[in-house]
Amino acid sequence: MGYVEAIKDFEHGRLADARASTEGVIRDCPTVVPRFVRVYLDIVLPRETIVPPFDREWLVRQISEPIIAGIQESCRYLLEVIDELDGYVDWIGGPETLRGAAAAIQAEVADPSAAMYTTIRDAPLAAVTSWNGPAAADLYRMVPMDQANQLHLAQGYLSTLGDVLRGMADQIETFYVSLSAVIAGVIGAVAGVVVAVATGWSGVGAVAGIVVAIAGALSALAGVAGLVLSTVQTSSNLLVEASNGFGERWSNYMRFATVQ
Amino acid sequence: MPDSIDTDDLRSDANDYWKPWHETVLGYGASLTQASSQVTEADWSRIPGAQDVRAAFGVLLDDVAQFYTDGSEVLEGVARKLLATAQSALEREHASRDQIEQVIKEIEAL
Repeated sequence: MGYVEAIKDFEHGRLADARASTEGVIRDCPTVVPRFVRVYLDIVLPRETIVPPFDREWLVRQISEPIIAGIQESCRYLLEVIDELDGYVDWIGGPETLRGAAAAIQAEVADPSAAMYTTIRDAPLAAVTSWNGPAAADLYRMVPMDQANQLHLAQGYLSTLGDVLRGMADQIETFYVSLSAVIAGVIGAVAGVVVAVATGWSGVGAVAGIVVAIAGALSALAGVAGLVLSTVQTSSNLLVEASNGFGERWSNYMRFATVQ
Repeated sequence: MPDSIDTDDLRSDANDYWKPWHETVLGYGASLTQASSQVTEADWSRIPGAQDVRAAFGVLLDDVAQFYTDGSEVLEGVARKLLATAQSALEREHASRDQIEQVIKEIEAL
């Protein structure tokens, strides 16, 4: 498995864990919340202070139900955020392959082509001096330099090809690093919700914890939005670079050898 | 009519320089195509705009590869002209049939 597949598996895995935790909160809070509400009531409203036939469970339900609904709604929102991030993980491409192609173009085409320029220009062509007389021979003397120059025209475009490949690879990695940080933020938010719901009821403390956690998820999503915008901008720059196109044609020097 | 053509020089220029250069430059186009064929659509990522960059890159790469193919044909054409000139000169000089046949074989080998 390539490292890209490995990081995708890693991110999908920890998002799946976060999803399971959040679904666990949705599932468990109808049981957990009333339990904490009862404990809370026992503290603030001791049983001996309540005049029978006051229905204590009715009161627990009245307090619990809006809290449960609030927690479940928040958690469903978190699930949406998790799903969205899970989709972003699949955006990650293959930066190593892109860089490999750039290196191959440099090593197998750009470097040898640059060397070939000198080879053609300086070649000890015998007929350049021995082919005397006709106008064709005079033209032939110019052909090596002319052809070397033609070959050299591609050099800048080879650089562009490499730049676009490497630029895309850099962009993908920047995206991944930032996305990974955003995912870490959401996982922190989920952990906050789980802790808030599970670590005992302390009045408004749990609700406050959930609000903080959801705010964390919101800011994470805003981070993704900014990230997408900045990557689109970089893509656009690379697109312009690649689209500037190739305006060269290899001139035909066949006319030199008009032998009479 | 040229008063001095060394057909050996024309042939050695064609066979030792222009023909190998033609093959080398033709190889550059093939190497470019080969290098880009390793990169899949997925490698370019699904970041918005990435596939547009990929498409533009493909057009540019095809153009550069075509440039090398065209250039290799020009280099081959130079070799062909040198050999054709040698053949004409040999025929004018009434060289042996074997000598002329040899040049024709060299032209066919291009």
